[in-house]
Amino acid sequence: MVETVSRQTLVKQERDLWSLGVLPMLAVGSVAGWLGVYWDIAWHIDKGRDSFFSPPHNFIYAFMLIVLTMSLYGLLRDGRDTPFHLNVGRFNLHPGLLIVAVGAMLVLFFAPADELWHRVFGPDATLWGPMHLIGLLGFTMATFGGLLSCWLERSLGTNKNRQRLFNVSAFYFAILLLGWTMLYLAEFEYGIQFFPMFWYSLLLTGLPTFTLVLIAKLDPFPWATTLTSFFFSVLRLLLSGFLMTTAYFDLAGDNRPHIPLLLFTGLAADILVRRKVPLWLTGLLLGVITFCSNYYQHQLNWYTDSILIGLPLGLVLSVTLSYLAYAVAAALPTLKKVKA
Amino acid sequence: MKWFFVFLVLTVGISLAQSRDGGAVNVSIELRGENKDALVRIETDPNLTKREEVRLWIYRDDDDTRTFESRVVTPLEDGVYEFEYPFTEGSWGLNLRYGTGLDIYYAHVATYLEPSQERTLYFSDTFYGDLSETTPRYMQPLGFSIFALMLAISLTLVITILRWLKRQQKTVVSR
Repeated sequence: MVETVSRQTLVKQERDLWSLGVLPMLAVGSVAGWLGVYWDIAWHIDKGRDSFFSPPHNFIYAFMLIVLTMSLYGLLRDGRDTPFHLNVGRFNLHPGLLIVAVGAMLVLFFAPADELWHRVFGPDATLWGPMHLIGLLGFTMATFGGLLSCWLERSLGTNKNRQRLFNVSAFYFAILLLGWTMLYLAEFEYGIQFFPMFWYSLLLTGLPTFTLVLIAKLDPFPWATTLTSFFFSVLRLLLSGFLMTTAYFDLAGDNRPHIPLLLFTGLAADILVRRKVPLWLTGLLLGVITFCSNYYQHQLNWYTDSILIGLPLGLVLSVTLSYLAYAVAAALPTLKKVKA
Repeated sequence: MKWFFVFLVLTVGISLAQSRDGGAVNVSIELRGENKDALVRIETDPNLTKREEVRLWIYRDDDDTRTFESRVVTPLEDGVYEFEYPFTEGSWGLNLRYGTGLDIYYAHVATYLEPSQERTLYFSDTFYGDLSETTPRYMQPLGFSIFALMLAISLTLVITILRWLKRQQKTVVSR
């Protein structure tokens, strides 16, 4: 019976978000936004805050406008009626695209608010300024929405090649989600932190766990988490190349961020999740491994008190996020369940 | 429940707010000779910085490039910081910061150093805040409260969608 339902209502789809051109544009927009934010930080360090229409701002907001447009286009054009589309009035809304659209709207609506904030209150430079944080929240949401979109498409599709494509797309967005997660630490990575050092050890220890456990649990293909952390490092190296290029053209980028080492954490996440190690222990071990792998490059500024506060809290965060990632993964459909 | 949530948002915001005025800073650099690290001593108003860390950018200006290193120092006693640094001959600058988030204060000293000459150099500056003078004290907590509110709304949307997807999975499988 389940098979009948899946055949009749789920799989009989001619269009998907890739054929509509939505997912490729989201993929480009998300990575461009990510590069743009790092470039913007480098611009603020090297050139100061000259105007709202600086090249990095134009770059970021142009791509976010594309992301918003494409997600709205996808929401309107994707008229499929499946159990995983939200029926709202005349529309069947794709949940992943809805999250992308809300994320892109957050970024774009708070861009003028950020400008106003700076004009009225001063040129605060911290990445964790309230309006900046709202922008980062929007970017992170949009990327998570991209991952969710790919995963749902993978579950809805019937063609093996198509499923493989969405597997790889979901993997791509997982790398970017890890990238966005680590971007919250950028001012520490650039060495221009505006908050006490314990935040660095706390967030660095805890934050990567969410994406790594999520992708390990989703398990799109063998060793996906190790590969996620590997390609995250590749992406960060490409970022350095991008900033070298902008610096060459005198468009800022002389200062480049430290690259966090997450390869061992990714490998450990793969093994721990596959062996069904309890989540609390998985979170704890991943936190310890992330901290230890990155200790060498920060020992100069990680003084004892900052570690004594940051590390335990970071481990708590890591454990919490491993449970959260597991819950998110459990909420997402698997091929097995859809096609039963 | 909703009042608890409002309270939580405001508490998070307020806990991050520590509005203060900047104060004077005295920096001395004791050069101890060639190939020996110099001793940098920073004295701030202890009532302002208390036992906070001071974050530094130590930069060197060459003809057309600027290289820098980030350092974080903690006080030996309230308002007093010391560290050693291997300065070489050339133009050097120290950019000092203390505070949190928007409520941050900067000071700056720059000089030409010749480590081969054993002597102590003295500098003074005043910390200046990043926000404009007319900015109300409550802006930082208010700003973080707005962020917390947007975060809560966004997470609610995502959690609602995920819970709905989970329900839909069960529906599909049970049909």
